[in-house]
Amino acid sequence: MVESIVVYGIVWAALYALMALGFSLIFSVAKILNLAHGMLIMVACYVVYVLVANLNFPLGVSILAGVAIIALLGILLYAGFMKRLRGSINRLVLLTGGLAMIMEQAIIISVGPHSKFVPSMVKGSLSIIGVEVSYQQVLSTVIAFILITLLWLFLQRSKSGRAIRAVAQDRDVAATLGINVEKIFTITMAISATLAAMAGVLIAPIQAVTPEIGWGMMGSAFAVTILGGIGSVWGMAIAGAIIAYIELITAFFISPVLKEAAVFTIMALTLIFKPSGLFGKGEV
Amino acid sequence: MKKGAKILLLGAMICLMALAIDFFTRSEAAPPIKIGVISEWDFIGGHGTKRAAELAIRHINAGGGLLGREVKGVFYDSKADPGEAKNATERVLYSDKVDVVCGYWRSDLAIVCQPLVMEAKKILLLGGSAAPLLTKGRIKEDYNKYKYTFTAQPNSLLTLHPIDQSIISSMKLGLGKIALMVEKAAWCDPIFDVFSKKYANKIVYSNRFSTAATDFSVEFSQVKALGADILVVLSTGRGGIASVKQWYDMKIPAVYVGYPEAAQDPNFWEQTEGKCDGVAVGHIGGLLGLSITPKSVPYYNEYKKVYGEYPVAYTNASTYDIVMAWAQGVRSAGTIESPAVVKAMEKKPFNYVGVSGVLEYFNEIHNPVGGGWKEDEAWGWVSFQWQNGKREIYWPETHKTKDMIIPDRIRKLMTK
Amino acid sequence: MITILIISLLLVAVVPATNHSFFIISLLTAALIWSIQAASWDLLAGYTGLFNFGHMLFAGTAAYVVALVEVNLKIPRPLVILAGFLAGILSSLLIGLPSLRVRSVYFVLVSFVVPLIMYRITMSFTRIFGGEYGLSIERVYSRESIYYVVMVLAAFTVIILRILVKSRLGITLQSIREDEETARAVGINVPFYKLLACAVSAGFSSLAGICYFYHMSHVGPEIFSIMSSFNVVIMGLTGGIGTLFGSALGGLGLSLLLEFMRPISIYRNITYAALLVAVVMLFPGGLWGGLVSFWQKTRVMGVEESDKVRKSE
Repeated sequence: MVESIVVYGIVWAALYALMALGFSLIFSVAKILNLAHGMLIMVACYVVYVLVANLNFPLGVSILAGVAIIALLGILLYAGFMKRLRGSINRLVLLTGGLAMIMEQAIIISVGPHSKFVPSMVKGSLSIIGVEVSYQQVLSTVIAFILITLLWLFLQRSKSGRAIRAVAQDRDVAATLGINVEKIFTITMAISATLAAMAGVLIAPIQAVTPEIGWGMMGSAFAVTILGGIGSVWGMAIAGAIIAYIELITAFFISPVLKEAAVFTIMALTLIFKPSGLFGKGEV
Repeated sequence: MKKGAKILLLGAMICLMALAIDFFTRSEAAPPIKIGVISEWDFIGGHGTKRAAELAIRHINAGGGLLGREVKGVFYDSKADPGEAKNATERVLYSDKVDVVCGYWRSDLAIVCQPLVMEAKKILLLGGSAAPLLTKGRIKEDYNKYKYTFTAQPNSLLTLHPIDQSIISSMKLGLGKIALMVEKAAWCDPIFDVFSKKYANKIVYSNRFSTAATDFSVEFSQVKALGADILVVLSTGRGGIASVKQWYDMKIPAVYVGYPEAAQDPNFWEQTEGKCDGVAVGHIGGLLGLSITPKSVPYYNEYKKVYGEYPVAYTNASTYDIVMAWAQGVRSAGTIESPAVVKAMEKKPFNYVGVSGVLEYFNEIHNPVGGGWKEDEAWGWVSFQWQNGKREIYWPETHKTKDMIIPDRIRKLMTK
Repeated sequence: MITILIISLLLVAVVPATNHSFFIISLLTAALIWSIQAASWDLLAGYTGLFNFGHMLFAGTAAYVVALVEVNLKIPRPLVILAGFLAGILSSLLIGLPSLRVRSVYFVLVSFVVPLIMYRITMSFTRIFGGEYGLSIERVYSRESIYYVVMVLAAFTVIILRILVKSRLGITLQSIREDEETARAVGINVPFYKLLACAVSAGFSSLAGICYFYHMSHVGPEIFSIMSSFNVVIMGLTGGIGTLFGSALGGLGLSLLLEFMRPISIYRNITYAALLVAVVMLFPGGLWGGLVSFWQKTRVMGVEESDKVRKSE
């Protein structure tokens, strides 16, 4: 039994981290608490579904198209809406919350509220230390880790990545260094949305797809971000692992029903005692 | 005072709005017979209620209407919220002035709205909600107030039987170690209690999981470790598809039976990519495309023609049947007046031929009986198993198409 | 206030005007209950600067306590209501205490989460709380009597809150909202006042919640849901944050508007959300604020009025 927890913990650690990275990125760089992030993940799932099921595109193409569409959507939302309210955090929360609701309703009205399914990219399963894991889960986990690593490398090594980190650290100083802050915001939003889309296409084959899962994903992204703190990619990964394992351990040793409560409690405790998170570098 | 005048104007506008709502939604008790249909449009169950009611009304009118009058449906979305449902109910009763109310798949909405309809002394045709309180509790305790309620959906204590059948049939195949996984919801509390007691010495694992759960890796690992060979799952929430997929992926050496509501869907085989082979669930026989009564298959096919897909939720049959049964009652009573219709519907025998089965009569708590199903059984419900892409009924005997089997894949896992 | 009295008279007149239509009376009762929630929310959000996304925690706790007592025990009703009222005020600590420790953005998140925990609890412990079926009783009060009670309560809420915010207490709260550090430096006991504001907000919300229970004869976990508290925020904000009366009208107006939109009900939620986005982006002072500034364009501004317009955060 412990082996199951260990193995599944890794799967969900990677997926949670991926979900949270896009969210925390845009927050650390532009101070935008994007409540619509979870919905972006959900919409990505639906775009893939519609392309595959209704328009009969091949799966690979649909996935690429889905990611591209969501990245574009993210940029549009930023440019059209979020940019204008960048000053007031409270109102941004309301705005993105409203946008999230609009996205959820748009999907319900157009595609329908019932559960849909996205086909697996690979079929079959294998056994890891005695635990049955589907190839899809393995694939999703591996890809998630790759993406996390790529993101980290990008932020550390590339010029744009360093510019992004500079803006996150101190916007005004970055501006005086000649960085086009506005452009950085847009790029960051694109990256954030892309990460969300990737999280969506990786998670969709593993679980049910309904419009409301957006809120659940948002909650998970929140929890990981709060626990991990902003400013560290690997901090996110570790936080993702902690959350995933706490959930599994609570489910196994205490009761599955209290899984969410345990995560909420962690969130609350972190906010109260270490608001900047375990690995947070930024001010809160 | 200028600011005050502005406030006054706003306040007056609001009051005017209220009056306008009343005025524009009010209507005369005109010739058509009106049915108020309130259900949860965003959910498969409530969605089915709406469609089934539409079809029933269409059929009634195609047959010349009722008492020479056309039947019209007033459809409102309850939005799965008790406050909304209450608004909608009072609106159909007092603004649209309907003659009969139908609907409510969600039991909590039915619990709130049933007294409202009873207060107005109108007949309430339950569209799928199965809480025992609605019929077994209330009609028994206060017959005079609640006698206007009728249902073609047996209450959830009775639907225990087709679920139990899946366990009994599994045991007949030689299996005997039960893992009981029941979602944490009020409707299955009594079922959990009954099973816990009945199979006490056979249950090796027992668990109540959250209705929002979509990941069962932990629970299934424990099931596997404890050597269970009958996995009994009761789930109406999101866990349906996910749990079946995970049961397959994790190679659990147990049959999957019980009530995974998602498995009722005709497309479930595709949705799980064939992983649901061997999964057993209960459902209304008439919705499986099989000839339970002469009406079943025509209804099944017409539904597909009208709506582009085959019916999924059980409400598609129970709502259709209760509305048509009511229509039969009205014809027999010769009037739309509630007390007379109630008497007509209580007559023994009543003999309404429905989609789910033959409704010989409504018993004292206004639940359906007959057509092969006895008093304490779940009228219209059968147990089926997914075999090679098809839904094969294994119980009751009268409608059986194939016996329950242990698929080869699972048999191999069990002998490892 | 005279205007409140006149509106009240109009509301009373609705009863005979619609021939005691149960539908309209029930509808207005619910709408008034929402207006009380919105106004009491505004005390925290508009005047104290605490954007509470879990406002229905108070009403829900009160309603459930009343329900539990009604279903299980035989106690005289005034005591039952008192118990619910006190429970609701006590629940304000769950939101008040965290507010002392975290900064405003994170307060939003914590306030968001607390009612969700209650939601899970009421859904999971089905034998005590009835799970998704909730708790029901047979109707106790007639529709008309609840309607009149709620009307009086709504007027009472707005009047009392207005008096409060104009008093020293109100000014203290607003100074906390403007700049907490300075307030502290000047010697104001910030924690005390924050908790007090939460308690007052919870008090009115609880009373409205208790009325809601008797109005529906039922309470269920959905009262703790995300949408439930979100509704309050949308109503308060759209009506006019920081204006109390505006928020109250926001609650009333929005409820009626939604019922009005029933024929196109598929588009209801999305319209709701779009309205929120529009208000947040275009009308910082809510529609009330928008109305006020429109009125000002045609008149000479008084100092008091221009202050109201600036009340956007």
